[in-house]
Amino acid sequence: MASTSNSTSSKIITLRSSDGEVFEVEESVALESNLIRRMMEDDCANNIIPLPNVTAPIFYLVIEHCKKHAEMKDNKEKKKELRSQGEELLKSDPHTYSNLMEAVNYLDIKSLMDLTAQWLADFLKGKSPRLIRELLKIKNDFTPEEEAEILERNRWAFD
Amino acid sequence: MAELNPGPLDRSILQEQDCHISEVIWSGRFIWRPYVGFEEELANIVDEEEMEVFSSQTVVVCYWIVERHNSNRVMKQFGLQQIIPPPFYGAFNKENRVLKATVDYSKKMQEGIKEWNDRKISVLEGEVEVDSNRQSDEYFQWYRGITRLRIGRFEVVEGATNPDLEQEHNHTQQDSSPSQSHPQTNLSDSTMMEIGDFASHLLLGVEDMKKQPDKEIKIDEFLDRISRKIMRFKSACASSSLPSLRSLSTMKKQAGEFSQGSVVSISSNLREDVKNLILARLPIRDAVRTSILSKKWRHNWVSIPDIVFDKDCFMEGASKTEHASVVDQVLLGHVGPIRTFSCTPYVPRSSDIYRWIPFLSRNGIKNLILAGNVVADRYDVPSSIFYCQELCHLELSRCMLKVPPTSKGFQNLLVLNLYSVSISEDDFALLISKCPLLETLKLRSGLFNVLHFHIHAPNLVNLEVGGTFREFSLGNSPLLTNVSVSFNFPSFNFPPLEHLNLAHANACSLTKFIGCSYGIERLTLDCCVIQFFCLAGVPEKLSVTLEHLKYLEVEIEWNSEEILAILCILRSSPNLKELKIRYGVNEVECRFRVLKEGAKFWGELTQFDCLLNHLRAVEIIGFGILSDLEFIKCILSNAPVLEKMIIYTNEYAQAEEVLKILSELTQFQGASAQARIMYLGHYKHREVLRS
Repeated sequence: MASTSNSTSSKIITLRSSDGEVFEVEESVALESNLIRRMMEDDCANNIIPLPNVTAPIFYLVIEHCKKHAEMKDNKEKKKELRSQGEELLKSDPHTYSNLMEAVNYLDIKSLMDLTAQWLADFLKGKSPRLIRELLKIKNDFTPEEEAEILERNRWAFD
Repeated sequence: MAELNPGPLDRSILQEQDCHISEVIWSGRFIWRPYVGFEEELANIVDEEEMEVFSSQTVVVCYWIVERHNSNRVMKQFGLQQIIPPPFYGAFNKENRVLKATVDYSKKMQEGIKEWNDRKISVLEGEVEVDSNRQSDEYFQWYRGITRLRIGRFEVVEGATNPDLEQEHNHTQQDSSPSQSHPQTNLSDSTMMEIGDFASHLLLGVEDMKKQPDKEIKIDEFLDRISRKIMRFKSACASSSLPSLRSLSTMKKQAGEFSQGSVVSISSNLREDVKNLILARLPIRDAVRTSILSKKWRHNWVSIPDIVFDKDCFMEGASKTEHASVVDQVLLGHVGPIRTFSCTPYVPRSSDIYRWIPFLSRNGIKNLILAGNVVADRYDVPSSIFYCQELCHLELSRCMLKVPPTSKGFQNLLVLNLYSVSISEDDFALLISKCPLLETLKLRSGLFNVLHFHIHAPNLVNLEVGGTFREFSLGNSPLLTNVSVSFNFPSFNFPPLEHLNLAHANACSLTKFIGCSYGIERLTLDCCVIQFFCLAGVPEKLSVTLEHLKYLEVEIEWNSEEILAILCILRSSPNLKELKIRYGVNEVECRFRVLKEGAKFWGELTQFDCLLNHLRAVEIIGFGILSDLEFIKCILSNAPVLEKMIIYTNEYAQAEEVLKILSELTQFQGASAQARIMYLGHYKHREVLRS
């Protein structure tokens, strides 16, 4: 499942996922990740760069989205499309979503961080606090009195 | 009529009915015309002439019984489209139906017999049904109106005057019924809990409503019934504790959530920065709601830098005072810098704006969007807005803007959008001159007092202007790339256009408009704007060559003068790649006037002498008159590298004309060998496509 490029002009970076799969990625794509950029600045680029926190299927997803993101610059329709894909993923496969988000966080890819956050925000929009707690596995640690006070303070938002 | 032999009894007909007839119909197994395929057999016993009489709306007389044949109720059986039938006729002459054997029926039932003799007159007529399984909405609407569709026990809520309540009622019914009949449903525990919770809210809401003194008795009964149902339902599923009491409308919203049915878990501990990323992307109402999630989340929202009020933040029908109090609460509770403040669902009052803007200016506001797109009174913009020196993006609508002569303007402003803003001409010029970094400027309708636009903004990149003006010129804006102008024809209180022409001859020519903005890449001249520029006469060529112009969109409204103006632009833009021509869709009558001059226009009067050496794509919208074809042909024969031409016809265009145009176009040999001409049907209304 290695992602290779047929253009000879740009440099190819080799990366290895936590489960041992080796990826060849164009430099321009790899540099989207601030983590890889820092590693390259520290002169680790000649060898294979290990990514101990990212599995192959997730890394594949990350690269796919990096490419899509680069393509859709100035294309509003594609941007919309990419934005709406999040809802499907969150509905059908929340586990992959959270892995993807963790990987994006770890790799420190600004554009995808914005995108994945946007996905979750779109998904949470309009949902009740109770449902959000369940989605994000948040434990309600308020006493009923505290809860009532918060409700009272911003009544308009809860009605 | 020959006697019909019914033949042996066919039991399979009965056995096939293993389900309800409606199921048979909708699954398509039902044959609407059961005698299709039996024509031959029927012909043996019935005259061919008699065959059509089957559908006659007449009476059937058999000894002393007279029955009406209401064939107009079953038109589908005769291969016709079912229409809404006239009133139903019952049995003929009911009281005379059973008569003694001694009576002379031929006299007694003359009317019926006469009708039967004339049966051919009342043979059913109608449009032939093509697809018998298709259902006509109109018919079904009527049918539902006169029929009780549900079979079996169904409680009709009589006198449920409140449609909302009725909806709630139905919802509860749907939710509760499975638990009554099958206590072991396969709903997940959490969903059951949610529903239980929901039910208790509903119950509390009902109690609340009962307390209101001016209730009607019928509502009362209805509420009782609901509460009984809920009680039953509640005992069926062990419900959890009840937090606060909420209104019925909130529950409706929640009901929507359940129907989405997606309860998933994202098993990650969201880091603080990720949390903030998410919060910043939520409308303010949803952000505030996160405060109740847990202690960790409680104070996260107060420092989000982007405050966006969307329509969900305000209750429908609430007054401006209530809207304002919501905004006040959020601003009061907020801590830290505010990057964005956006309030678009409504137009605030002056007094509110006077309170908010100083607050925002102290908190380093960068993006200020007060663009309620509704008709409302204009409010005054406080001059304190000029203290918001960090502003990058400013959108205002329906307000009155005054620029104090001493103001510094907006030294950091990049984007300025003014919709229907009232500002004086001098103030407008002053404002633009004091926004040195301005990159994007959008002005839409109703800059009432500005009739002479002289836009001089050295860093301007994008310009969009729509409205009514007398003069329009661009100063030196070397970076200007995208320009879009549309012109609204003067309304009644505006001096007539001819007047303008006399008073300002040569004032607003194309040349002057383009000025020295030779860097334009995309140019859109919409809605009569070309016509407006034509008033001052059309030059052969512009004073500058638009070397960079790649995209040109123009609208031709009325006359050939406009085509001359387009030619003028085309001559001055040697590198054009895309061209879009829109014919005034709504002005079809006027366009017919062009027909007369059209014949002579090309050839004798005008030569198409533009070189379109780089033109790759052309789109023609609202095309529909044969005389316009000449222009298209000229483009085709002068564009050697054209790849595609897309054509939409005018919805008023006649089919013959369209055919003629298309056949001429397909036969026409253009300069480019690889050019594809695509016809995509009638052009749908402008607004539809634009959105």
